[in-house]
Amino acid sequence: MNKKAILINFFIFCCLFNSQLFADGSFQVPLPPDGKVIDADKPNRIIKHYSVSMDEIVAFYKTALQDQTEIKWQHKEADKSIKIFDWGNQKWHKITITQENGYVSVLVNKDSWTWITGTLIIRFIGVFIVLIILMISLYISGSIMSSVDKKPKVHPNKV
Amino acid sequence: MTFGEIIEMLVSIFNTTGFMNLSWKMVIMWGIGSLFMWLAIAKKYEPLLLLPIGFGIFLVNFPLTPLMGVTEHGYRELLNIFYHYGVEWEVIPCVIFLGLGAMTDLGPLIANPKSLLIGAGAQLGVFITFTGAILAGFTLKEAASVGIIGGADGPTTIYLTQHLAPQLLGANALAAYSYMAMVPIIQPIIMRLMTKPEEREIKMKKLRKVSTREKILFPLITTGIIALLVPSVIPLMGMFLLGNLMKECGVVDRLTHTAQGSLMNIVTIFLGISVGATMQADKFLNWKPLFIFGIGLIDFAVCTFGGILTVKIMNIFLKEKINPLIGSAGVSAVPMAARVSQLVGQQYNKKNYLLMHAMGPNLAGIIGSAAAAGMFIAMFK
Repeated sequence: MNKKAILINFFIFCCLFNSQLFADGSFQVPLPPDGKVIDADKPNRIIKHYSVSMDEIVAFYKTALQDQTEIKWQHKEADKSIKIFDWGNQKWHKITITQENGYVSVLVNKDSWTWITGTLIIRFIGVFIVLIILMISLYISGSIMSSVDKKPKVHPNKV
Repeated sequence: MTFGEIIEMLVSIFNTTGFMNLSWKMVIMWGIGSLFMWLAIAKKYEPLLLLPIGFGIFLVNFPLTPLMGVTEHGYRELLNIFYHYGVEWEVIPCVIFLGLGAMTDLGPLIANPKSLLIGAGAQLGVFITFTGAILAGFTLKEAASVGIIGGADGPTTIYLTQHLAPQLLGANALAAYSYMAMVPIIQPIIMRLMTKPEEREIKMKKLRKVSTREKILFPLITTGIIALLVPSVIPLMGMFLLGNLMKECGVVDRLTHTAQGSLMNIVTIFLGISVGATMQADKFLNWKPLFIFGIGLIDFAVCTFGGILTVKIMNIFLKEKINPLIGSAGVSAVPMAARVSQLVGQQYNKKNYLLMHAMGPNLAGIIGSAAAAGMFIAMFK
């Protein structure tokens, strides 16, 4: 096996190995007390339902996460939900608080390598898209300018 | 005055000197600052930036110096002023880009728009390093700021780091500028590993002539596209394209000369010393800067790999093949990376002049790394 093939295979191995390395079952996420666990079987999420108001749940998280600096809150009027994102080193990635009929649903998504890898690939492709659009614009403007520059100049004395 | 009072006075004067407050960490930082000054002076590695950065590191790592704090009246001290109004407010990176645009001829890129794809492909390392940095324990924002180092674009690195992870500004800027200077050492190895001898000898057709009208239109078209697709980097790219427009229109020579000359020099001084001043011992000496230096090298290497790989993929579809050696120039260390492509190419074919062909991807890399930075900023909005 030549040097190039060894290097390429090693690189692919590192990518695959690393994607499995840090998978674990712990969320380390604050959850309001009581509530009914709806789904805790999947390794990458927890769903709990609460019979208290949404304001109480939001107040709980504002207190619980007040020391975290890398937290972003997002309010969505359309589906009456509030999302809390962690951009730091927490094991959880997102908490979604939704007002349902008669209860509040709290969905916690674990720090997901699928999300990280997916968003990276999409954004890398996004860079290509931006530059492809620029490339196409340059080709169009280039051909227009070339044809404008090629047009023969009409002599003022010619009929 | 008694003898005891005299001794007490002498001791209190001595206590106001730095000797009593020196620590071993500061001595280490003197060494680090001196190293970068040596690299700048003796080795001529990016001296315009590494010298003020190195001296900034040296200067702030003395105790009791009123440089990066706040006075008793609440006013910022000298270097804190430069840092706050220049770097924290993201003014200096944008003004540097104004000067850069005013001194750059974008003709090779306009003549061969395909180079833009190479500039995009060369951002591969940015995204892979992001993943590596997260695995190492960096937060998402820190990982994004570390990843952009591979784009080899100092102002973009500083702009993004200040936006997302200002605590890593010193380490990221130092890594970016250090590796930019080492492009002639790092890239040829990867270029030889990734290309076959016959590929290195590919001769490319001479680039077409680009009219002044096209050069004037380019900044306008690019500004429109970037503003619509990646608006978060328009402060940076807008200034770059303004500088370029000033240069190409030819009617504001005074402004162009100022932008590419004295203005650029002024902000470079302030940038260098401000960045160096952020590297105080208690903030800098932890595992993160060392890791950034290590992963920065891998980042550069993978970006070089990405650029060459992009050319190889393009060659599958193109009738007129592109010499893959210009792929490495997608890393936007302008014009060093393009010169490296020229030098390596000439080692295999003395009649092969790749410089102007390599300038296209080199310039495309500036736009590519800005687009990548914009993608990261948008990720956290």
